Amino acid sequence: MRPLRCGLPASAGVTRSPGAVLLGSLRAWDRGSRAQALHQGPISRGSGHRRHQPQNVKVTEASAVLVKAAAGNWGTSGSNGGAAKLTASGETLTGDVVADGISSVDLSLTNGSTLTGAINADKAAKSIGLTLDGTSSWTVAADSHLTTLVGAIVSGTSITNISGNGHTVTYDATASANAYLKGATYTLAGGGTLAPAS
Amino acid sequence: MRYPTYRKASRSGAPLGALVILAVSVFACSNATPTALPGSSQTSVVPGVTSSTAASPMPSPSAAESATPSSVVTIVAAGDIACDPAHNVGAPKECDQAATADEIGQLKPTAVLTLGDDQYEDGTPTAFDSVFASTWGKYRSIMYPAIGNHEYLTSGATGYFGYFGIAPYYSFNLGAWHLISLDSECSFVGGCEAGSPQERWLLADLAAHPATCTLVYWHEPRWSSGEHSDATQMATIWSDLVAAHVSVVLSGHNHDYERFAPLDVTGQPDPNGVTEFVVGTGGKNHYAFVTGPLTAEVVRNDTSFGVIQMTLRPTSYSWDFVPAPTYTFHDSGSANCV
Repeated sequence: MRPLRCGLPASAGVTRSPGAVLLGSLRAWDRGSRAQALHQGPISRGSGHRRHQPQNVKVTEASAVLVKAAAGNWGTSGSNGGAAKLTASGETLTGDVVADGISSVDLSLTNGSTLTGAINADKAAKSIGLTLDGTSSWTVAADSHLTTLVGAIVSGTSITNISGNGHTVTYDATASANAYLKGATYTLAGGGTLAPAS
Repeated sequence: MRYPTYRKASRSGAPLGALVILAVSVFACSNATPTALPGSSQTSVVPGVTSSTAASPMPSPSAAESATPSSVVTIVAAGDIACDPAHNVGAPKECDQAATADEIGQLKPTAVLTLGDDQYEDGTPTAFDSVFASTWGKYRSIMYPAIGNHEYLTSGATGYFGYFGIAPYYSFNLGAWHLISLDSECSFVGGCEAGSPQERWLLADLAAHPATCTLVYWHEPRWSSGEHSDATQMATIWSDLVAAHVSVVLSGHNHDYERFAPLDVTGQPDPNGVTEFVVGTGGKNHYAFVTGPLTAEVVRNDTSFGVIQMTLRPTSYSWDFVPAPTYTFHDSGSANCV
């Protein structure tokens, strides 16, 4: 496995919406489990938004936060929120995913990727989406709250690709993407519960 | 929420080399004698041909069944369903997905299973949101899909996964039954051979759910005399299901209807084997049979659209192929779980 540059896994990426502020850090390890330094610059790149980044992006190093989407100094209301989208392919990720009330995060784990951390633990985010392909998994580090959960592998009344460690994960039963969950409550691997948000 | 789409990020925009998310002529199977097994009864009706066998009386509902009628559930299933929006030429010879969808409304099942190739030609998000959504999609709230090869013609099968949100393989309980949806497009899920992720998951799922009655479904049939023949990539999984005494397997892929006697690992009749149905009659079009019926193939038809309705009881089941309007082929019967 070749060394990673700037701490970002070679096959993971992050983007954000125009005009939004994305605060955060990304801690990643490659398949060889070699710890990497946190990315030293904006973790949001591409899609034509680069000119906004020097003023609007702040990277928090050495924190337990994997991705944080927040309004920052653009304001705390209206359309100033962040919209972070992260995909990982064949990567091991550790850290929490957080967002404020006008920001959203879409996180996609593919090709055997794993995430260990909490997602929207403070239930503050505008929306949080997690997509797992058939080979990826999430280990829950604290109670978490998702808007959409795509690709949970259901085995009867259990979910096999999310390890709950005794924690509770909620999802929005009214979201069409969650229709396959049928508004039901499931047991997570290793203990814990996936339940509709009340 | 839609399943995200992927594109390569430009090197200038993503210096780390990152991926950035942006966001039938009538065929009555005349040389295949209907095989009636102990505890089963079957009736097949094709135009001009009627056969009926009953080796023993229909299974009598057990005390438990009588005491808990809610444990008796019904499913409707078919595969190979909705035409591409650009080639939706209409019924009755092709693209009869609206008629089969209407059958669901009339049959009012507990659950609807799709058997793959739910949306042609490539299963794009746009196609799912138009043809499938306006027909079979009306029953999405009770739908448990399986993915087919045509869905994977869109990279990442984003149309299918985005529409359903579901994993490529999963299971659920319905009444007293355990149902398992698998992905027979093995290359997209790390293979189907022994030790593959899906096979390991299947074995764990079967061990965790030792239900008396189990139904498993996927797209490409392990055994078929239809155009695409046998799906040999499912051999290991078929063996697992025989060993686990699974009662029923449903598939599509071949645009016909086929029913087999319970089969062993090698496809030979075995009273303790798995009964396979091919129900690729959801509306797309028909494929003519290219060979004679296989060993233990009880009945087949390659001219009728329709759905299979199954009533699942705690220790037994019954089936009925219900043809779409203008078709007359029927096949019905019942059997005990193995």
